[in-house]
Amino acid sequence: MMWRRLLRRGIRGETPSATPDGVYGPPERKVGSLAHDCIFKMPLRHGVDDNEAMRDMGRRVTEIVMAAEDLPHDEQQAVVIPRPEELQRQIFRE
Amino acid sequence: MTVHDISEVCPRSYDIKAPYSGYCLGKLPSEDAEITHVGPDTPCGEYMRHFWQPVCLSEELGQYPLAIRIMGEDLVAFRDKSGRVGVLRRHCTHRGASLEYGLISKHGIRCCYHGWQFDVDGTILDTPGEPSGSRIHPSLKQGAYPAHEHWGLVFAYMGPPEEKPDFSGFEDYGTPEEGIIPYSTWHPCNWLQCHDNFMDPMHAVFLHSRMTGDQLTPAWGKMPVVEWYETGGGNGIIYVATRRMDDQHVWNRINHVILPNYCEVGTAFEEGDKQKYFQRNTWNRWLVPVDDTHSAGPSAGVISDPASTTARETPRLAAATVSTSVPTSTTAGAPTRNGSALPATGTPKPVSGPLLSTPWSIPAGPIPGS
Ligand code: FES
Ligand SMILES: [Fe+2]
Repeated sequence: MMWRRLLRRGIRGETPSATPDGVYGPPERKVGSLAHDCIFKMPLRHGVDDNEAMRDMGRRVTEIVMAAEDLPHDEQQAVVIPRPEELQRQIFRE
Repeated sequence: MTVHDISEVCPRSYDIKAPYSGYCLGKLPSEDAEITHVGPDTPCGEYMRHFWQPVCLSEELGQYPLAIRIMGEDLVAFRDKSGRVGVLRRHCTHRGASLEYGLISKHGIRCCYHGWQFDVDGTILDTPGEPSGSRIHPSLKQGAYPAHEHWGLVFAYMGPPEEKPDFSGFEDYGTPEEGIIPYSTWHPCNWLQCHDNFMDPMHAVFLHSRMTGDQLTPAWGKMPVVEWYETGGGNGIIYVATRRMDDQHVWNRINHVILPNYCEVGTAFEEGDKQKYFQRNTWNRWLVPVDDTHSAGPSAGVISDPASTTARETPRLAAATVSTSVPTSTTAGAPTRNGSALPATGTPKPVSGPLLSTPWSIPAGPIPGS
């Protein structure tokens, strides 16, 4: 439903970033992506709701990639790649 | 037989809790034409035409012209003998013969019927049957679309010429050429029915695992915790799916769809047994409308992180190097120039390569990229 709503708004010209200029960006830029996979070591913890812990982990990864969303690809890579590892270390400290 | 007004016979006509309520459910829902119809002059078709669309694989352009159908338009794609790619309206501007049966020339293509020759931009280069002094040459053009090759895919721009955007690259994460594998799929349904699937991670648990046995890896059968977020100021969505693999590991995956019909998908063969951070996507996919009831997926498999994926993904990606020409509703079942018949049932027509060992080799089976 969310996708269809976005599509409809794009078709109606209601979203400036859903135009070719918005999607493709300036000529030197490539269409980037936030898609990726991470495997974290996150031991099951007694007394902790694991679904909530996983949801929280998902949100933290999302924040990392979304914060770098508008950066050119090289900078995005430089900013994002070390951060899931930091997040991993953080999980162990918690 | 009496024809009833359903609302009188079934006062609770939309009570879906009633047993045996099929009749009472009444009419089928109407089409949502604004977002599904793709012909010329339709809102969605017009929107999509403003973006470069992959229309076939480069390797499908060989000795003969290739009949394709994109957004309800019958077209022909070919590579002329000087190496340029043409995407033209399929029916000759003279008397309508199909350019699928044309002769590829050094410059453009020659129609089989009266020998008119068209350049890749639609310019008429020769009208051999016309009297000398004929003014047809300068006064007509064959409909043509700009084409561009990238990642072994042929893209066409089918929108207003004055609004043509520069062809944009798509992030390949530094993947060398040989790590990029173009492929295509074909679907007997509207493009949106397939594209919706990219933001539906739950289907993978069932369709690719629990209902059918593990089609990819057992990891897919684990139930994820999922959230969706809008991206790019409203030009895309990501889903964030996190699964517990064992009592030590969790798998976090983000897939990304971008308007109008592009999608970046992570690895298909995750085992979930080793720590890894930010392994980039493996599949760059488009869902291109063939017409309102058929769609195709000329796409590229990208081995984005050779260090961690090559061992698992390469053999499977290589096995998936099967191009499928786009069967059209007008030519399905008809003999092709290659002497084979395009399938009438809408199953992909393999052009090359072994396919049988891949999970998506089953006709109308799952689409790679979950
Ligand atoms: S119909 Fe094509 S040249 Fe006459
Ligand atoms: Fe799938």
